[in-house]
Amino acid sequence: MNEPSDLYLIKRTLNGDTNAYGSLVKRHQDYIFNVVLKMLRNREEAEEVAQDAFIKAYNVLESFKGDAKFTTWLYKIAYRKALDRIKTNNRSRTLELVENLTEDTSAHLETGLDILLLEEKQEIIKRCILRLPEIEAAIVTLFYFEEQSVKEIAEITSLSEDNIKVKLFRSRKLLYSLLASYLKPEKIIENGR
Amino acid sequence: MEDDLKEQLFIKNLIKGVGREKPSQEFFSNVMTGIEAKPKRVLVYEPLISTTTWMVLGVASVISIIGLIFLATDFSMNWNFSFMRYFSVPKLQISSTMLYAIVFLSLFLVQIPFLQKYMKNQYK
Repeated sequence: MNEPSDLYLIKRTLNGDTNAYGSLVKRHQDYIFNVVLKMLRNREEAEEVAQDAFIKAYNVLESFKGDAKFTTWLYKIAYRKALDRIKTNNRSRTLELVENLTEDTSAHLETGLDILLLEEKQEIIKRCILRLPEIEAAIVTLFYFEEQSVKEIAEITSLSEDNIKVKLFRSRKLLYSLLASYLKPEKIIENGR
Repeated sequence: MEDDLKEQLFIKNLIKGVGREKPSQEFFSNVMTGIEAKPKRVLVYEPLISTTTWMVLGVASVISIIGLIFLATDFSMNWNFSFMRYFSVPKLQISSTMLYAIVFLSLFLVQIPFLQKYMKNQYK
């Protein structure tokens, strides 16, 4: 069965059908929550902010012109709400120094991760993403997980495309170094054999 | 370049492998309650001048016209504008260069709204 498009549901919502907006919330709540959670690192806070984002989106739905995708527009609202919350909490993570990684370390890292149990592996990766600075965590999630293009991420974050590319590159290196610090080289080599 | 792509793919697979975090069961109902708590303000069109005012104005003007026609009086005003000769309007001498300058400036000013619209459309 064909699902109604976002635009159709938006039109119905604007005509006063709140159930149509309910369908939109159900469709997008996981994506929005996932990105907000990566930025805030706290489930309760992330739920609150994501809920606020959906309510705000409902109140300003008339301003959605349909030039961009509805998801991009929604991500933009949620991203700003999360940034506001970070500012209010007055805590932000800074970019840690990226160690120089040799090709050898990368190869060991891949082998090291391969032999870990799935749950263990997921836990380590989750912890590494949560150690990224907020904006980088959002960009990495949007790019690798939600498969948003650099152009769309630039629209969401109001940063330039070049800046996004630089941040993606640095985050990747940082993720590598964080993963390496979780998996001690000796252990990797030993297990890799 | 190849290493870079390999690295990208590796990170992508790792992140994808983690899976998407899902909000709690109450998330959806909380959003819907939040929406219903704030009913949308529906703008009802209200004309600036109400129908009653229009009717009063209409009746008043009809009465005045009828009054002007039928209530003729002998009263007349003798307007005397002879005092105007004591006032003189200064005559402006504008050189053709100045005139051209004014014309081009106004042309430039006329363009601004069009340029604004054009720029706005470009950055949408």
